[in-house]
Amino acid sequence: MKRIANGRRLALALTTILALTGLAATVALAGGSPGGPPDKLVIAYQPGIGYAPLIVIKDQRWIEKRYPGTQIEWKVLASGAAITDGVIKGDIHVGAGGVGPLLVGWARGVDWKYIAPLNEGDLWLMAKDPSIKTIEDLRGKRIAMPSPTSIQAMVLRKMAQVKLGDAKALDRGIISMDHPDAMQALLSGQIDAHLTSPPFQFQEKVRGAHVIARSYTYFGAHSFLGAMVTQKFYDEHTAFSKALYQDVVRAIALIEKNPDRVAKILQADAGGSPTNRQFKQWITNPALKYTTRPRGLVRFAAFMNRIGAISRMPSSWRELVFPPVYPTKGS
Amino acid sequence: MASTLDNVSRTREQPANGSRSTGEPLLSVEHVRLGYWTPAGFNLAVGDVSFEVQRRERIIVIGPSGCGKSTLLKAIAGFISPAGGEISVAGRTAPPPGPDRAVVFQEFDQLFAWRTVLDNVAYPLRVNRRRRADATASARQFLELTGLGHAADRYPHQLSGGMKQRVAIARALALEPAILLMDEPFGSLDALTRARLQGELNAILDRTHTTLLFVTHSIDEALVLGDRVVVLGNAPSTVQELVDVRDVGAPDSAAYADMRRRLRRLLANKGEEVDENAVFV
Amino acid sequence: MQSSSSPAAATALSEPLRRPRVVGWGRLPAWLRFTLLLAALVGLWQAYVSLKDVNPLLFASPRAVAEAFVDGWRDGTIPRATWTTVKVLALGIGIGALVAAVLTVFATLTKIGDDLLVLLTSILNPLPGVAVLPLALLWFGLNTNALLFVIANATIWPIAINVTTGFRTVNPTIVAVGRNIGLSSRRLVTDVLAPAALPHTISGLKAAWAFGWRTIIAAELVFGVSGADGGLGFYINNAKLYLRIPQVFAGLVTIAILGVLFETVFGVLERRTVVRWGMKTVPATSGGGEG
Ligand SMILES: Nc1ncnc2c1ncn2[C@@H]1O[C@H](COP(=O)(O)OP(=O)(O)OP(=O)(O)O)[C@@H](O)[C@H]1O
Ligand SMILES: [Mg+2]
Repeated sequence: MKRIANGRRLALALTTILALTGLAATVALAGGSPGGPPDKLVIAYQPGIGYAPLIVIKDQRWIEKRYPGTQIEWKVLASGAAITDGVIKGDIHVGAGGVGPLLVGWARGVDWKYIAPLNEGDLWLMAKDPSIKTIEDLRGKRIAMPSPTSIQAMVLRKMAQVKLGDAKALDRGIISMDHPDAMQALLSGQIDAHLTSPPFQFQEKVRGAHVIARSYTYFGAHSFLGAMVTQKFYDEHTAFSKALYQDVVRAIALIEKNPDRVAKILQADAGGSPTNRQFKQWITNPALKYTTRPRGLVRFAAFMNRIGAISRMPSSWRELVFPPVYPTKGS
Repeated sequence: MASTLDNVSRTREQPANGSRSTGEPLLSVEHVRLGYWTPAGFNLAVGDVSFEVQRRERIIVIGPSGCGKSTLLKAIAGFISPAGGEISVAGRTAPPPGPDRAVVFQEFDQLFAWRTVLDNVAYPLRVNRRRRADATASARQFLELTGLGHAADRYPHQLSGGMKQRVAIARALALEPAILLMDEPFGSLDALTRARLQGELNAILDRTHTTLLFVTHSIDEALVLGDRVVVLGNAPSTVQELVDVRDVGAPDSAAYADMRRRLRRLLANKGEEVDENAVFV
Repeated sequence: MQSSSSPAAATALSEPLRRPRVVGWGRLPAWLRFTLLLAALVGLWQAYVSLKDVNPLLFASPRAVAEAFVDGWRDGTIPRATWTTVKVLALGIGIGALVAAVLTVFATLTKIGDDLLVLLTSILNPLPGVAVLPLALLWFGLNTNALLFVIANATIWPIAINVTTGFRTVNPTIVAVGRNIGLSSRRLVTDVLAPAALPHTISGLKAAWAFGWRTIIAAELVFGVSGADGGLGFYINNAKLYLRIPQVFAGLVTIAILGVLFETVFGVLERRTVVRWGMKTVPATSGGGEG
């Protein structure tokens, strides 16, 4: 009797494991992407005015107008990790994100590059407690940022390396939170600091937080966000990709030439609030400069490589962008 | 059968004789009423029972099933307080449970499952301030006496029902109580073991001068062990008769047969199924 | 596959077929059977990865996992994460057990305490542990205390309800024996009630460990306290963010091994106590109360 009971249990375990293996296989196989012109396209980005060029393209329906046969879906996802996952699985074709995930993915073999950098951004480290004035005061404190692989996390480690002599000195305090939650948490005193981005840093400043440090101090002016596609996608849809780059250039030109109009677009996209004056202030703030010129990519890669976040180095900034970006003389 | 019979015949001296009516009784039960609260109300088991037990005396309580024998025994042991009347032991009224009235319960599961057979007997001795080595030695001795020397290191679940009961008997005997309370302790034993243990019990009581209150269904057991027999009626029970059986002699004597018939008739009137499987039929 | 039929059919079919065989699967010792089976599964896994050319960003080969596992143990990241998780879990279960003990005493001594326990258990026990995490974060902030609260909450109820049932269902005769041999109330509790209720207590602890273990891993995945202080859930999440898929698998393997280890410890504990004493183990009650 006992032996039979064991046998049944074994059979059950075996079946379960086979089923799981099958499931994993299905998941793994779902990664293939279709050839030919893009008849379906998913573009994903995150909340924040850093993505303004994409929001303009979406609002103006430039892609839809150029490719009427393409079914286009715009997705706003809360985390960079979700966008990375989507691109790896092939569910997302154009994913926008920070320099951190770009480099982490690139180094791990995600075959992607920036088809169009979106901006340079000065990322501020904010605190509310007046007794926290410098990086040194942050030892043992809780510091929020989108994730341990975000560009903010890399910036924090650089700050820790410069000011505290150890890049990992503040790792213990890193808390993964998206920016809106982190802003609430900072203002209500649940966390001690927030390494953030526009417009959250502007809002936090207005609501009583102060700036402890800025990323430009440590990396010089540097790229913040960009739109990524995979090499495979670029090879299969080169014309589309080049056009997308031109759309971003055009959107940035519109932001520069007519910030009032773009502010209205952003306000409408955000559901009506805050005011378009507020949006205009944000997109014209010098902390955020819309440009397709990549800057500081190699510097970031070198730093991330030194602290072990990535295990290989690009030979030049060109290795991280597609040909349409080459003429911008990046770094 | 006949040889066993000889072994367990009433060969003991009868020290209780002299002290029977002298001095204060060790145990006195006066107009005791006992019962249980049930959802239907108070259910009286023992209606009105009185008797006294002298030191060294051996009292057998006999009566139909469900008449309250176990209830009475538990009340004497201090687990149930009477709804009326009074129980006193050695001059103390309603004493709380204690090792001076060691009990062998009717239930099988009265051993500590997590202790070995040896420890089941030795542990109560240690609780009562006996030194470890002393307690162990004493426990071994009483286990030998009940024929369980070979099983000393087993756990209770590895014993048969009768063996478990014998451990409980060894435990109670080892405590050397002033009065030993036994509730059908031999009920689950085979005839030979039962007869042997009856003999051993008599011998031990002779040696230790222990007073005994013993519940049984078996008339023969009552006659072999008892000085006096308390015959209870149906619940709510009263004492039907208090019979002196000290002088009935050996089981093959005429007096014994007379007494046996008399008790049998008393019980039969009360609808009791007399234990026909008893040794001395 | 045949074993999916009813027990009776399985007995009828397989007994006479299997018996005569001299060398059969069933004749091998258990450890060998499981080792062979495990080896076969790992082989299957490796074969799948090698033949199918799977995306290494989605699925790892056993070889890569083994390497990540060994590296993780060598460089101290997995032991550190494991230690963090186990430490928080032990502390959480400790707190849970303490609160459960108080509740149990209260429930054993008073009727209202008993009712309260039954009520609280039926309300709080079915809640998945992580469900209270957002509230815990609000109350305790983003720190270990929130995790401790969640784990304590997940463990109090199975322990309390099992131990209470254990105490309540102790055979009255054995308690009577304890009083008869002259035990004080304190020793009656420690020497009679406690061992008599041990099967239930162990069930409670087992259930508590199972709940707590799942809860802490889930909570760490949702909110790994962070950085160098992160536990196994955080380790897995972090590895995933860095796209180190073999490390993700290595973390899962560690969790599985720890699970087996804890089960083994409980198994040994039971074999040394309740099984040895012939006290049947009672399955953990999940609520309700009456035993
Ligand atoms: N715990 C209890 N609660 C309620 N009623 C009880 C309880 N124990 C016994 N009784 C009742 O009390 C009466 C006497 O029971 P008791 O066990 O004393 O009988 P007994 O004479 O020992 O019977 P037996 O010879 O079968 O052992 C019975 O009617 C029984 O149903
Ligand atoms: Mg009885």
